[in-house]
Amino acid sequence: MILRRLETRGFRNLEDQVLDFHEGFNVFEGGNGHGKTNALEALYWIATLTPLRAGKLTELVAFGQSTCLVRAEVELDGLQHRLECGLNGPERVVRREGKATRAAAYFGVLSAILFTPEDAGLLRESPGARRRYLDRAIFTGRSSHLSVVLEHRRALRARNESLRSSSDPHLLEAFEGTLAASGARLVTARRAFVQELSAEFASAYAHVAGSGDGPVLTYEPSLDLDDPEGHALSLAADRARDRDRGFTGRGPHADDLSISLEGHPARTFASQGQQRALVLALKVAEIRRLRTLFDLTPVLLLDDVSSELDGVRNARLFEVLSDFKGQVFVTTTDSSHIKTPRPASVFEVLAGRIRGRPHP
Amino acid sequence: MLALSRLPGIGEKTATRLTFFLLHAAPEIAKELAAALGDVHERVRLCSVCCTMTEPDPCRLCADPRRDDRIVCVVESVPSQLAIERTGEFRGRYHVLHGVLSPLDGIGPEDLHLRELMVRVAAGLDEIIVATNPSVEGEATALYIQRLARPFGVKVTRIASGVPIGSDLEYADQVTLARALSGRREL
Repeated sequence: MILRRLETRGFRNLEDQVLDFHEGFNVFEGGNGHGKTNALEALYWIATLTPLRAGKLTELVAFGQSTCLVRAEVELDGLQHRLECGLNGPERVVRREGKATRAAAYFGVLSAILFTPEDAGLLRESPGARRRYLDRAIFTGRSSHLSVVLEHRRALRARNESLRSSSDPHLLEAFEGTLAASGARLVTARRAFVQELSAEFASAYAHVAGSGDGPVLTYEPSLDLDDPEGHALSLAADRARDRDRGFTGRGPHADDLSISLEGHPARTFASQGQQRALVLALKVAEIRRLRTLFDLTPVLLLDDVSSELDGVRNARLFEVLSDFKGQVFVTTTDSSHIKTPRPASVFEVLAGRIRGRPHP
Repeated sequence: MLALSRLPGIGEKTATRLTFFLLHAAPEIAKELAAALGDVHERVRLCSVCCTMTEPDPCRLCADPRRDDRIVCVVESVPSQLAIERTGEFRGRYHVLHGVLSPLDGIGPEDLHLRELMVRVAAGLDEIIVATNPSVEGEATALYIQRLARPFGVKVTRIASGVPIGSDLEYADQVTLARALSGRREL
């Protein structure tokens, strides 16, 4: 997939403009606060319908305006697709090929994988961050995963509410049934994903770190069951304890993804450099898995590749990406630090205005 | 105009159009409408058997002697009931819950017309078909009814979900298709 053109209107601090992209590398260069990451956020938003940083969608709208619009032209298998998403006040408008559509029917044209400096902390963050990583990564290859996640979340909230507000055992049992059905699907999908990723992950790490420490990726379910019936029985067994606590203790919402290095948990055992390499390897494995299983080459979004932060990391990143055939977008404060393996377009970002200039 | 625009699906423009239609048309039309609306709350009530909205009690469908008393189709709302009735496939009785269990919205079993349903279960039924929507709440309501009915030994079934007939597979959304695939059957 190639993102040929992007148009933004009323988006964050960006001027209303149309950008034509290179099918290889595209570098957004500019000082802090001028809007490089906003440009990347526009790309991420139109790919995933999720903002990069904004807590509330309305933060995406430029100050003093009430609507914003991002429009993209994407080439996939020789066909031109048009995607559009915008905000009309608080209301999100999503269009594919010029027609308003539901989110479920929107995805499938453009997939993006994001690299940010915050990624390095994934191993030290809460299990919730790793679950979000898992679900997002599964979604990139199979967008229907989103509905499983949302259904599970809704059923979980309903059971928790019933635990607190009702003494009717049948009511709990009813929501345990729906929770178990979506929970089992969630566990099955995550387990399959981790298994598919594992082999690619070990070789990607060897590539990234330059050593074969043999990292192992494990999905750690708190309810080790793929079948809805077993899931429901476990929830029923937990009922008394869950009622005391006021929430559901075990299930996919309490699971974790663990990474070990030489048999020790990487979270505590690995150095910062190793942790960075592990997370980078995770993403590289993700890209390879998409190609192997779905014949899909996503767009890569690399935020804040600034050499003063970590020159070695960036050199490694670009070396690893040298065999990547797809389109890459990078933000940086200084494009001279970026040695792209292939031709690139450089865009200068100054106070919200983005101007293309030929690569020196 | 303001009163009309409070109705669902009617915006300012439609309300204006309706108002001017009523002003220009024969006065009887407006009078008939006013009369029909005026006593709607007095005349329409819930059927004492199936809880649908009706003028006669019991309702037309509950009173029809040709329908099968042993099978009851449970639906969320009157529009759902009308949709199933339009198929002409179902010749049993109905039961309208007027909602689904939703703890997050504060809707519990006592807010639905489940007591009336259990009266009918206790009187003896062969099958309950639960035709609530395929949402988290709809599925949970189906399971709840199954738990309630279990001691009475009545069979509880759930309608299937999948791809709409007459539409192309390519137009079905991914969620519906995924569900249809997981619910496949052997030929």
